[in-house]
Amino acid sequence: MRLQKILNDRNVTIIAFLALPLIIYAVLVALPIFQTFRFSLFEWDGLAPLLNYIGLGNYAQMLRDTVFWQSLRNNVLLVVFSLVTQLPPAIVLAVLLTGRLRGREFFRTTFFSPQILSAVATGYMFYYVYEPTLGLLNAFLRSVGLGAWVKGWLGDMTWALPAVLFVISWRHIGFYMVLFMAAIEGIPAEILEAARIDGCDGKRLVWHVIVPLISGTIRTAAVLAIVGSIKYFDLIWIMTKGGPVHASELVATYMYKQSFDMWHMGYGAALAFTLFVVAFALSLTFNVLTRRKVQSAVATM
Amino acid sequence: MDRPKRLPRVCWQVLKYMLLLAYLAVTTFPLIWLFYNSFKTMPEIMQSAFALPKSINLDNYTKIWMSGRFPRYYLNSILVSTVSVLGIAAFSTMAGYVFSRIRFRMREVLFYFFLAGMMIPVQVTLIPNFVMLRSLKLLDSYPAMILPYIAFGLPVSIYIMRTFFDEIPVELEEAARIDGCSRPGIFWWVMLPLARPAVATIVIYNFFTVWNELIFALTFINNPKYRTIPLGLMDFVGQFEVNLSYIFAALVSAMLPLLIVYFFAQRQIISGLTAGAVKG
Repeated sequence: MRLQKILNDRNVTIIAFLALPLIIYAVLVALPIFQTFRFSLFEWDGLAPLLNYIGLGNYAQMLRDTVFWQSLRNNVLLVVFSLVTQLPPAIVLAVLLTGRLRGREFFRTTFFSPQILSAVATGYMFYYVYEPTLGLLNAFLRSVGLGAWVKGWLGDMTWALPAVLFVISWRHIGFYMVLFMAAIEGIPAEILEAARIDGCDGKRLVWHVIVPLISGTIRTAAVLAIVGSIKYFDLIWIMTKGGPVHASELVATYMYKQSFDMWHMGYGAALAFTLFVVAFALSLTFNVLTRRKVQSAVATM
Repeated sequence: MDRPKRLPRVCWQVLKYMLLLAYLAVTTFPLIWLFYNSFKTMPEIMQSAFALPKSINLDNYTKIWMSGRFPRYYLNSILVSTVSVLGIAAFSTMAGYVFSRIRFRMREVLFYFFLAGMMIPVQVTLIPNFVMLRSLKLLDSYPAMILPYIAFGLPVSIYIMRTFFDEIPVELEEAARIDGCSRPGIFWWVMLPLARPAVATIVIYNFFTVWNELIFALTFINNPKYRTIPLGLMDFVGQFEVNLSYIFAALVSAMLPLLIVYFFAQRQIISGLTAGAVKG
């Protein structure tokens, strides 16, 4: 009788529908965070038994490690660069593409297309664009008489990072543009009409009417760009592996090298855990601050 | 009075198109360049990286497709993506339904537990998952990719499904319940058919994420038998480093099918990808 009461339709459904997703998620996503923290307290090559407990030694080492600071600096540069070179052009393109325009759909579709290509294929494509002898960029520079600018872009200490940053923006601008287009199209036509009647047009319309009205979406886009930049890995790994000599190293690529190239898994775990704390804290803060205003805009697309 | 106002208007239109065309060139030219270079022979590439190919030469493509490895990469990618996306869709619709429709203790706690996953970078789970898969002898296998893909696809998908189910009026369900339908029956016959748009979103979003995924595959797969397209490309570039013509054909072979699908279904794909990313 009691068993029957527990095993009613409702409880059986809860257990049957939730058990598997919960187990998979807990084992592969949630638990590993604690394990990573535990590993980070050991000096460990990934194979031998976990014996050499060193407390926070790996974190102390991290704070003394100039490569860590270099990669963190690059992550900060990536954040700033993404905010500056992705969002404003995306807003401009979105403004240009809203309203009646011949070829609007074509532009929108094409501008978004880099987003669907894999980072690996995109990374290699640009690897060969930047290639010193046969690459497109140097061929172009030579043909317009700028031969003096020719260089091995990705192998150059100063140019490697900017070269990759350009590709990252190339890949994502279209995505933000689509977000902003949806937001702009969500602005009630009467508001824009009223602004126009009040003699507001062009730059002023954009700056004083459209931008404030889509500020929620701009904030969401900024959050996506910031959090995405903190954990960035793919394109850098394909194009430079963080080189030359860590010039384009990010925390994620450095963590990967330490863990899976050099098998300093304890130290790698410390780097990974640091990355997690920063990314998690940032997302949490922004999620609480912004409260996801963009959903309604996306729903109208 | 009219004239000075009209002139800037025309200028504005011209400027607008010039900006759009300039950005169009930036977006497409690398792709176009890659595409036409993939038909060149190696001597042609050496001669000029810029020039159009002298003839449409398909040797590069026959070479890489006949080698047997490229079809294998495609099959692996199709298999891994299909199973992962099916898994994510099944689990997240079920979990989303329970979270939306059944009240139980711990409901919100569990829901937020899943949601937290959206803020967890994959890198933090890499070492423990590597160690676990190694001890289960699962490195170099399909599950080594599929399991983490499902796990990381769940948070955003469950979130999307729950918010969608929350919008469906309860009355529809009550009618079915009065007719004697069980909860799993209601889920299958009433709720799922209504949830088709949300399911489309999570399928599209997760498909592209999984299809292009690099870091898990890179870490857990070493055996060429299991390489997906991204890993296959890495391997390919490593092997043919000097033979650009093959590499260009390989890159086009990896990109073009996806681009064709994209241009046919761009509406659904764009909204699926943006909805997934924004909520995630």
